[in-house]
Amino acid sequence: MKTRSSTVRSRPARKRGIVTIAVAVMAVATALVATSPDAQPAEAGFAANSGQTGCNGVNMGGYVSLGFRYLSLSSAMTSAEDWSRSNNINPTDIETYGTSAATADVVVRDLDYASYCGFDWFDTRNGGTTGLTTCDSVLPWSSCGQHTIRFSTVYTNVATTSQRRALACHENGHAIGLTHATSDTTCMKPNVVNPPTTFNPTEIGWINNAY
Amino acid sequence: MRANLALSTRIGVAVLISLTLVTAAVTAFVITNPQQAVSNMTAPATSTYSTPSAAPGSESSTFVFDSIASAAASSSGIRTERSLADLLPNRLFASGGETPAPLAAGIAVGTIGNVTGGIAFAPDGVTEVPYATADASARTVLFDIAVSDGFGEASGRSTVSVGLTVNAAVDGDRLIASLEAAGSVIVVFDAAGDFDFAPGVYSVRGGGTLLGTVDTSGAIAFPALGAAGSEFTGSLATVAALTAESTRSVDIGTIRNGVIADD
Repeated sequence: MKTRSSTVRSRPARKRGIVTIAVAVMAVATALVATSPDAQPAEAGFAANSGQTGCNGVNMGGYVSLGFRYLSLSSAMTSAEDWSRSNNINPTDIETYGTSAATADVVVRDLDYASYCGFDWFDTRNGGTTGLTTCDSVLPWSSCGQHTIRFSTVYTNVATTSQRRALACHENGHAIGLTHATSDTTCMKPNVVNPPTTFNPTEIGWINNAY
Repeated sequence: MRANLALSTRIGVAVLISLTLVTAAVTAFVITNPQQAVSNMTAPATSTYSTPSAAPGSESSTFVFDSIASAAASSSGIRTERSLADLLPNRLFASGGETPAPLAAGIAVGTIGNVTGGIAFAPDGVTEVPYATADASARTVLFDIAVSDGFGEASGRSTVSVGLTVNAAVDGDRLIASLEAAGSVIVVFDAAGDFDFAPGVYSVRGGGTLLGTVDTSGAIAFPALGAAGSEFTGSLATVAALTAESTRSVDIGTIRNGVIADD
């Protein structure tokens, strides 16, 4: 009877304790999910962590701070890349820095590509691919461990400063997870002769929400 | 005793729920917030090739057009031609002092057949490897067009052989099955010679996007161009209209740096 009485007396207290623990656990779980950077589903225009590699791999970068390595990059595209990092990416929640490390998050290079990845690369008569971003490796959480951006020197040699900046903006956008847009207000719309040199507010919102 | 058992059961269930919640929360955190959870890069997942999920003969032609569209998902480019009309053989363009010439080598309308795997590209994007290579970066599939209406180099030919290159994440067997299901198509092709392994094979212009469909009424569509497709075909939305346009007098324009000049 004493035991029963004791048990009866202690049950509300234990229930309150269990409820308290459960509520606390749920609160912690909610907080963890709510504060994770890309908990929202991938939207059109932003690939998030697709885990896709190869010739059209578009993923988020793996980190908030991204190292860019220029590999034998022409001076014209070095200027365009520097401009894009300073004006397109660094104003967002992502920061970029230059590095010579082989493990850089983004490798940038340019060549007279002919058929890389099977694309019809630009020539001055037929047009064609002017830039390409590939994901060469993925991290365990399906972000990209290393993107490579490639520019066609055949195009960049004849392009204007604004066109080179727009191209750098476009490919840098892919390297941080942006996909093609249909809006005329962003550099992410493909196949435009004279595109804007900036992301639009919606894309900046996606970036800042994801990183 | 029964009360104690019930209490124990309830406590056990509560603990189980709590553990489940903690596990779920930690899992969600690790999946969605990796930078705090993992700090080192590890070996990449390189294999993107998978076994077919649809038996040959049951694949939809939609698959091939979706695959073509996705191939250009992370590139940018300049499309010289403003519309389908610019690709007819009676539209000549001069560029860099060269003799005016058509932009496309030809256009073929007809039925797809003899679809086979061609080659693939290694992860370096350049080295050619067998079509079914698991960690390839891109694959080229070959097919013939039994020509019903031909323009340019397709004119007067009964068959044209074409190669199409897509991202290797696309299932190679499904791609073949999907092309076999495509039926009547239109293909705008560039000069033969893009494929060292198949010298007489033409490549599809526009990174494959100018492979389109022709329905029973002769209506033309380019599904891989997406919303831009109808604007691209413009008034040449049928084979009849395309044929009529091809008989007009020759027009000569100028291309500067990949863009058709307005003058």
